[in-house]
Amino acid sequence: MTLVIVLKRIGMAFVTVCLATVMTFILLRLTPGNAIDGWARDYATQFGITLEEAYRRIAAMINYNPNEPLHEQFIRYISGLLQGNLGVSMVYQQITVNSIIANAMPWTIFVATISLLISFVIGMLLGVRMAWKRNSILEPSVSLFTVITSAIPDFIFAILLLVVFAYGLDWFPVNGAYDPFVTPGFNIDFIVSVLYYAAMPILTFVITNIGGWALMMKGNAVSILGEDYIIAAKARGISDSVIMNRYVMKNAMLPMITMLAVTFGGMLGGATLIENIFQYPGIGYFLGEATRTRDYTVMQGIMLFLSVTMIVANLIADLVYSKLDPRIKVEG
Amino acid sequence: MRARKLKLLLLSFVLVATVVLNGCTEDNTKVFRDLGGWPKPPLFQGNPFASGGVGQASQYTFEGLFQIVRSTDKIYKRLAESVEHKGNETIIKIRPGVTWQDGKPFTSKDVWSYYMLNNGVEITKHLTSIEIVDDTTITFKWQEPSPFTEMKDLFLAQDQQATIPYHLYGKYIDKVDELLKQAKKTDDPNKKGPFGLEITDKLRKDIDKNWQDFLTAGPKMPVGTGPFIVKKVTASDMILEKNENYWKVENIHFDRIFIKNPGSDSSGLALLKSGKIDTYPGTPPRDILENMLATNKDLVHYRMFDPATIGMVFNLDKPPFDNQKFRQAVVYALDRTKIREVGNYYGQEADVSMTGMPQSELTKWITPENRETMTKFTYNPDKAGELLTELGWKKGADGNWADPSGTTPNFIIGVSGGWLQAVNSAQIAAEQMTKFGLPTKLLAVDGSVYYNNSTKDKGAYHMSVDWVDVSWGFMFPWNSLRNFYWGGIGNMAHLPKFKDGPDKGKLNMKLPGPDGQVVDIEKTLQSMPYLQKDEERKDAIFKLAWITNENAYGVGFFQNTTGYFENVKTIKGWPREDEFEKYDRSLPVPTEPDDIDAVSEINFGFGGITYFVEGRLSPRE
Repeated sequence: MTLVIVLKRIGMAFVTVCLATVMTFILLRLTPGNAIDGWARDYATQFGITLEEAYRRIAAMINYNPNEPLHEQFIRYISGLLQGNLGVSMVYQQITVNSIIANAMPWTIFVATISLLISFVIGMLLGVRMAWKRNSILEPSVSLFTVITSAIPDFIFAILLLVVFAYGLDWFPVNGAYDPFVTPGFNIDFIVSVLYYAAMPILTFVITNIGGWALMMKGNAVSILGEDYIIAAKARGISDSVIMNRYVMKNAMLPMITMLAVTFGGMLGGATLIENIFQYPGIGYFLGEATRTRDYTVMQGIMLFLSVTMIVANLIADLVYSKLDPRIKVEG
Repeated sequence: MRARKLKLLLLSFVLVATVVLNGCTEDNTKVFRDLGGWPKPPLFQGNPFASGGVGQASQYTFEGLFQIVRSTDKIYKRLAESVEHKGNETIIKIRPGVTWQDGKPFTSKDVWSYYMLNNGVEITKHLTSIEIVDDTTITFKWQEPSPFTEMKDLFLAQDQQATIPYHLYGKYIDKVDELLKQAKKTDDPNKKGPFGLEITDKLRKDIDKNWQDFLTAGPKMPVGTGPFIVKKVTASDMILEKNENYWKVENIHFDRIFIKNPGSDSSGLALLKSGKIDTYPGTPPRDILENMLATNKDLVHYRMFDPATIGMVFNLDKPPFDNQKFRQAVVYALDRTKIREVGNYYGQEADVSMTGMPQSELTKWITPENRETMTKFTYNPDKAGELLTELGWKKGADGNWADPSGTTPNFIIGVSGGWLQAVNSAQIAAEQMTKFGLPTKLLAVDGSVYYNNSTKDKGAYHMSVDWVDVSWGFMFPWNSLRNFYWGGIGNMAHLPKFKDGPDKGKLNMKLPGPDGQVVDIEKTLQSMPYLQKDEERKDAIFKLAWITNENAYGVGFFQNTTGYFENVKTIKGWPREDEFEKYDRSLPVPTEPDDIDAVSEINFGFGGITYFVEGRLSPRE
């Protein structure tokens, strides 16, 4: 891959980011509803003030002027972006969107990375074995499992796991990211607690993702099993496990690398429901919360951040893939 | 192979150790386990006035001079030691020795600070000034005419005066004091702001800016005077510890409060069912309630009236709802028993349309003789048909009514989609109207657009479902009546208002009352807090309730019955213990005055943490 091609790819990614920026800005402003109505009614009740007074206070509190011309809002937004500033929450006046993302992202990355790795590894192993032993019970079993886990939304699994393992058996905590009695930091108690609290969200992601990886791997492996070099390896008396692990798996994995990056990007943004069910303070939770309160600046910031993550993940996959598989020729 | 087994063994060990180690961290001695919501870190902060406040910690951490039980209007003294009403002054002595949770003394200056900064609260519109006499004495000076004594008490009791410590927010308090001093006194009721001052646009802008700055200046953790101190806040849990310096610490029998954030009602119920929390607010649908009690024998459920009615208001700006007889016909056409069974099985139906006050209050404020003069709007489709016929409507062969011009209407009921209780009730109402021959559709929309749709211009809906006869704050019916006529519900009903002139924005409603005399609704409402005689107040309440009912501005589906689940195995001190067996732990709405008080006060939303402060609750050993 030449430098020109790499630059072209980066250029395309940049254009996509620009489009995503404009789209998120415009689409959010077309969304019906506003942050003030429900909030004002709650505020009036909570603080014993009239509805009019509540409206006035909230209108003064809110970091958003709906009467500001759209182009001025956009210029202000872009100039902030150019300085790496995603803005200040409309609802939580003292909090910047950057700080929300900075606080939430590690939790989501932590859960997404572990889940993705576990489901990828297990899916890959299952897929190769399914391809290798095609008449075994494994293939229909995994196919059935995949149909079920694909048909049922992931948040339903989250609820089922909660009902069984948290409320029923009491093996795992109901929600949260760590035990409130431990001190956050680099200490064994905290690390163990974080792992323990992440177990259920991770399990949800793993269960719903394994099937897809297994079937994809199986498809790739089946096509590789028909290749001449596999037949030659068998003829040379190389053991099944070596053929499976070193010949089939390695080659079947290659097309999945792209998917791995894309799936990772998707998982960061697609965790809203699961994170809300487990009250897990990741990016999906805060996006859900911002949507509920119509906090446009937070929604806009998080959506842009997720778009950029997805675009970058695609770009990396694109660039890395041709390096991993020299047979792939990248067209400029 | 051995290495792989070893790895597996190690992994299993780590997993088991994780589970075991984590199961051992909670200290469950003398703990009350509550549930609630709060802004999750990094959004959490200690200023209760900022967005999201401090969530469920508020009632354990903050308190006022008084605690009002808002469903009964019973008032307990908290930080106030005594109250004396003397002419147009109210002199309050503060308990000596009260401290903020950071150790600083709580003084009358803190009370003054609360009203300076939070000057939009209702009482300030009736005061000329608040004066600090000494560290423990503060005087409230009322404008003339001043509200009647009980009203003054209610105004004072609905505020939480110990929430803005001067030593933390002095900068903003001094600033607003300086700004308010720039304002001039006025007698013009249209210009009168807090403390009888005329707040110009420029001053308003500066005051708002100061308020905004105050909101971003809070400490990381709340600082109140309450019996518990917030120690830790995570996304899912909040831990509060007993305030050993609390002024009534001998009454506090718990060392800690654990608050769990369940995220949803169903998760909350699951926590309760599995014994992970000790309390849960609300009365779920009958099947869920019975299932909860059957599966967890440690639970008791108390039911109590909510001072709020779920109902439907008619949009007077949309014909034919501008016609009184037509509105009455719609009320007669609705079978409220069926609506109540779906919306709130244990709710209370009314025999009137709506009155501007919850059904349970009618008997308290309106005599039986006067009640008799109010038209009964019980389910009567024949009567509804008669009224429509009188108006020239005709029923067609398809079973639908057509107006005098021959047009069959298509009505829309609007409701906030996230509020299932209202959506379900509205759905039944829409079906009943359609079956009666007035085709009606339900439009359940997002909560953030519902109110605006309902009130803007001529309104998007013919009917809106909401809390209609509702009394947040206190029960004296002026509260619910003004909530209807002056508040959001009146806006949904599009009640007639002056569009210009000196009375612009005020109600333009002069209607015949029960004795045939014309009643000016706006003036009557304005006069109510100042009526010094009980008979005068009752007369005004009756007139307004009567007019509201006769004009059928809406229909109250049912007065909501709320409730509380309590875990009686872990916590003792709950009321009506001797009746648990009789009612199989599902206690009906109380009827005896003492029981009404006792049960109302277990509701944190009604009476705060009265049960803790009065020393009634304690952990079972």
